[in-house]
Amino acid sequence: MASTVVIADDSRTVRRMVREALEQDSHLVLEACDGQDALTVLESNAADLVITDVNMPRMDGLSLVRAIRQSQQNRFVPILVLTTESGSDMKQKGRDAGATGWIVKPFEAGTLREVVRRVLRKDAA
Amino acid sequence: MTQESLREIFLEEASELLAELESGVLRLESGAADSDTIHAIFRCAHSLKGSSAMVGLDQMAHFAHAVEELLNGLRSENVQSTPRVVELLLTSTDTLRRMLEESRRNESCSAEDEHVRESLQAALRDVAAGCDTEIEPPRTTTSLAPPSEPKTTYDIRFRPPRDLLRRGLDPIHLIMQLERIGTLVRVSPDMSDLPELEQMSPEECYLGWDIRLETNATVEAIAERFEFVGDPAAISIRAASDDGPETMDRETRARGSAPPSVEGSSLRVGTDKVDRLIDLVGELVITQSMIVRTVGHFAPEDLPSLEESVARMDRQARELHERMMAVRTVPLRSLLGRFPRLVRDVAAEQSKQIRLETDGEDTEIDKAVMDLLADPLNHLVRNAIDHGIEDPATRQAAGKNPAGVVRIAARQSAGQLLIEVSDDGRGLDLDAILAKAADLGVTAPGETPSDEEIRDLIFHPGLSTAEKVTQISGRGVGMDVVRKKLESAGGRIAVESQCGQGTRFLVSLPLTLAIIEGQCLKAAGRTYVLPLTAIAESVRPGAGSISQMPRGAEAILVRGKALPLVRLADLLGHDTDRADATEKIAVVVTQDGFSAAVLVDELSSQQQVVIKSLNTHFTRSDGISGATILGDGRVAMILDVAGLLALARRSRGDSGDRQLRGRARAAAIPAAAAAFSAESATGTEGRT
Repeated sequence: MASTVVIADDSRTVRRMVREALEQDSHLVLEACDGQDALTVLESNAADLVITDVNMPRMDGLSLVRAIRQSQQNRFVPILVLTTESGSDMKQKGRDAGATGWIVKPFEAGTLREVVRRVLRKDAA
Repeated sequence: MTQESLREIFLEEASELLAELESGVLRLESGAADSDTIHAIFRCAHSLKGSSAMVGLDQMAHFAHAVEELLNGLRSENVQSTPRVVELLLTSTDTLRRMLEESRRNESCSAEDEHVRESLQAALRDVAAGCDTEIEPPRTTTSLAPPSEPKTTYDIRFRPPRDLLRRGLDPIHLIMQLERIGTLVRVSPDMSDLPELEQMSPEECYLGWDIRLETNATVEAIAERFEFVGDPAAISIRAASDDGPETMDRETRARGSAPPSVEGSSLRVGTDKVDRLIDLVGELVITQSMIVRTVGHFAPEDLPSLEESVARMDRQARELHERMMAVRTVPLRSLLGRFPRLVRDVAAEQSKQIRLETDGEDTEIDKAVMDLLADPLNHLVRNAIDHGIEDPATRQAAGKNPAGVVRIAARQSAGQLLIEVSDDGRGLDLDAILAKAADLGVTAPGETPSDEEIRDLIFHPGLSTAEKVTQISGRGVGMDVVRKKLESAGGRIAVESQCGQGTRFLVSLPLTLAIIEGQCLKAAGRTYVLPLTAIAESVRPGAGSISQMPRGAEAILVRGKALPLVRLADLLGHDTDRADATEKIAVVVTQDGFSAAVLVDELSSQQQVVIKSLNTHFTRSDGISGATILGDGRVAMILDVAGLLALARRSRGDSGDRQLRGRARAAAIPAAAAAFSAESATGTEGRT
């Protein structure tokens, strides 16, 4: 079943890449250009997954994760953090904030789809 | 998606980033830069690094990384903004821009240039000294072990941390996902940590699982599946010892290996729904065997227990039926989910600002109803944006928020799905609609319809609410098609509008197409079923309320309004019965804005009826949409309101032909009913 995925990243390239990759699995991808924007998108759309960059203007990725985890509506939504650092430090920070998982940049479309499949509940196929 | 088109986007984005980087550095030079500026230019370099790596421009990524490191030093105030730093940053920006240009033209740079770049990169590093300069190698996709390898059975002990659910991880999903690398032989839960109910927090994960997995994947590949769990202690994987007997939990296995759903005619059904069905069938079998036993040695004193069993079976059968129908239902979310994108696209095209609100995504409806609803809903939403919401300037001038709101709200009520599509736009222009209708000859000149009637005119073929056809909505699909489509499914649509305040479409549809609320009625000694949704009211004709019209047609006066009167028996070709109409009942049916009164002998019960299609057995006959089996086992035809009204109109216009057509149908319908009951009788025989 198609899921709704919100991608928060200030880079259009990354957003486009995520969109194209996930649309192959017929997910609906909604783009947000930073954390604040993502929260706005989440206000009016029920997302099944949020993918967020860490470093973004206005509101960074970890603040976004915390904000989502504190929200009433979306607190249990899986969240994947895109990070450029693969060190366990970043992973720990992400986990502490409440992130579900992470993807290390740069990544390939196949890797992304695989990881998304792993955390999306609806997609048991 | 081709690599080229991704690169196109990247090139465009990178130029913008470089421009922003450059202007930031210039501000840095003029001393006008605050920490926000530094953060912003850091982000530029950071994004550039990430994006260029993504499109495979590794050299650029490396270079951008060096710039990022220097800016990171500036950001953390380890590096001071000196003229040398600014110079270095500006040169770097130029270099990055050249790299971009090379990439655009698919050129490679000269060896000399490469040397310059390397030394520049080194200089950047020197300045940023103290910072970590390591560059992440691109991560490779972990591939699963080749399938040719022999399968191993692993025992996996999974004791997730308590906060698992709060981090958006679903343990069941994690386990189910193991199916993708092997076969789940057994999954058994460990409930030893489960606290008392009053101490239980629904947000904590108390359960653990022992999983037996048969796979040719390596231990590492299995562990990777649990990577996001985060706590290494949560999971232990070891090869299973062979001696342990396979204590097979069939149910678990069946659930674990549920086949993936296939698009098309198949349906993905939640295991919980299936489980409850299986339970119910089990209970039903038990009740049935109890009844068989009681009946086998029946003594009068057993009557109360027999009655009790029959009552229980009744309850179970009813629940089974309801739940079986629910198997076909899907949440509306999968339909509504496509609208945010649609709204964005349409709004962007028209330079309008639209906020989409949706409500009731969890409403469950029959998949067939949802498929049918897709087009009309799509059209209503497009219409709302296209014709309803004004452009931002107009809205502002009218004192409204420049951003318009389109709202789709769904809910269930009394066996109906109610969907409301509303906007806060300009509303319907009643004068314009009336003028157009008069133009097209839909309304007679000089006629003064009520506001409600005018609003209803938008459902008339040929009328549109906007003067000009736009690219999006002007596809020849008008509101008349929307209404036809909804009504074909037993639905209705109504419109409310306030000039300047907005428009609201109310759609109601049956939750399922397989069951309808029916009114049983009798005519010429036969029972028919009329869909309750089509009935407006029933009246007993008063003496003199029926008047003869030309060509044998009749009309009845109901609440001061003359409606065409249709004698059902007559219409369906039974013997013409001109007995006193005041002994009968006139049922007022409405569809497509057209009303008629159907004269029947008597009304009997109202009940839910299951529609059995006649299509496979008989050619379609007007006025009949299907058949159903009533509680007493008899077959009753379900009347098709649209068809009846069409017949009524035709017979009004051409009564001479009516008898003829009626005779032909007179032969067809009883034959159909007879064949149908014969068929269902053999069906019953076959089952017992």
